[in-house]
Amino acid sequence: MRPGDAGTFGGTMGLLAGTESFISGLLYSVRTPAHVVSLIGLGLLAGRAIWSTQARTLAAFAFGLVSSLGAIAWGAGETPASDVLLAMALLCGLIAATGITVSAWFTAPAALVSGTALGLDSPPDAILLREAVLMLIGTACGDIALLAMMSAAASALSRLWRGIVIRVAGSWIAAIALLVLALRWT
Amino acid sequence: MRHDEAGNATIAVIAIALLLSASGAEPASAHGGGDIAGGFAGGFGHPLFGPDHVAAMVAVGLWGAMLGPPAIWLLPIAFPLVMAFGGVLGIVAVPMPRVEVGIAISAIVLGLMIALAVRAPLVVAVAVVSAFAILHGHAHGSDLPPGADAIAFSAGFVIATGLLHVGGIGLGLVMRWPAGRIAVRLIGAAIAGAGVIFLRTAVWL
Repeated sequence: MRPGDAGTFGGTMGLLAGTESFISGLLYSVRTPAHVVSLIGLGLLAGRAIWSTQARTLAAFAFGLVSSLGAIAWGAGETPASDVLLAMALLCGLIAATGITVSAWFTAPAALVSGTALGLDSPPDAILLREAVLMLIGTACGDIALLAMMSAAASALSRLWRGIVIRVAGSWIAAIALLVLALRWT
Repeated sequence: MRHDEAGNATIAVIAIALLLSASGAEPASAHGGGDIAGGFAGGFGHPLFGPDHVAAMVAVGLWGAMLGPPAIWLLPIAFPLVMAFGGVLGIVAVPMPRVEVGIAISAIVLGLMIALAVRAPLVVAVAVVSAFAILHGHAHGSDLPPGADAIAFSAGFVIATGLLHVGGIGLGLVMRWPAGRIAVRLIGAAIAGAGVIFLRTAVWL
């Protein structure tokens, strides 16, 4: 991968031209459609829950993400993480679309799996160890902040028009994830 | 339901669409054939440049607005999900003869529902829209490109479809006025009329 290239899904993380490694990692998920779809899906799920459930979901996500980024730093190889990520996005989107109420017993494990898959799907391609570590730290910070923002936005939207926006967005996320999974498995 | 709330909800849906599209519009990827920008634009344009799709999608939103809650939001939620299922059928090449004929018929049927102001029960409305969603999804799914830009293409056409529904719902808001109700029924008649032209073209081909 050349400097300035962006990974899409199941790819590697590249340096954005003119930015530091940390910033590159910070923005990696924003530049990766599969990650955005997954984070919106999980955010929709978490945002409908009460504050304590949201906090547990975010903590589980952070734990999974940091653990898997650590595994990558220790040389974890290629995994089917992007498929898992899309499968979780499909599940979260369906739950949000149908309006089913779920407790922290579901959202926290879902967040743990998503966080782990997201981390494993974000391998840096930096040659220097320092750069790679900074990228991974940036990724962790960026993804946790993104999920927190998605949850907060979904929480605000869930009070709007009886949560219809959440359900519509959930159906979009589920539809996108289902189509991409079907394409990847055929 | 207040109309300022409806406006806020519409803005929120469009904001989510923009967020997804901002990610999908990332410049080309380094991973073999992954033209994300092209993928998103291609997917977004797929329903928009097919007048039969546009007519049917706007009709779904309009009919939902005409039926009122919960159909106004249930139809646009059910449609993408069932459409994705139809898309999967298209991707795995499940044969579905004369899909274009079915899509043209969807414009006729949905247009007539609006023109005649049919107050169908919710279950019937969802069933009718879902049946047509499978056909629309199959047509889209057959055209999905393989490779890394698939997610951008999928996001593009799901968002475009959703925004057409939102457009239909937005048009339907004029029904709060008596003249608006007549205008919406006329739009329904126009969609049905266009459907007849689409059907003629599809049968001809």
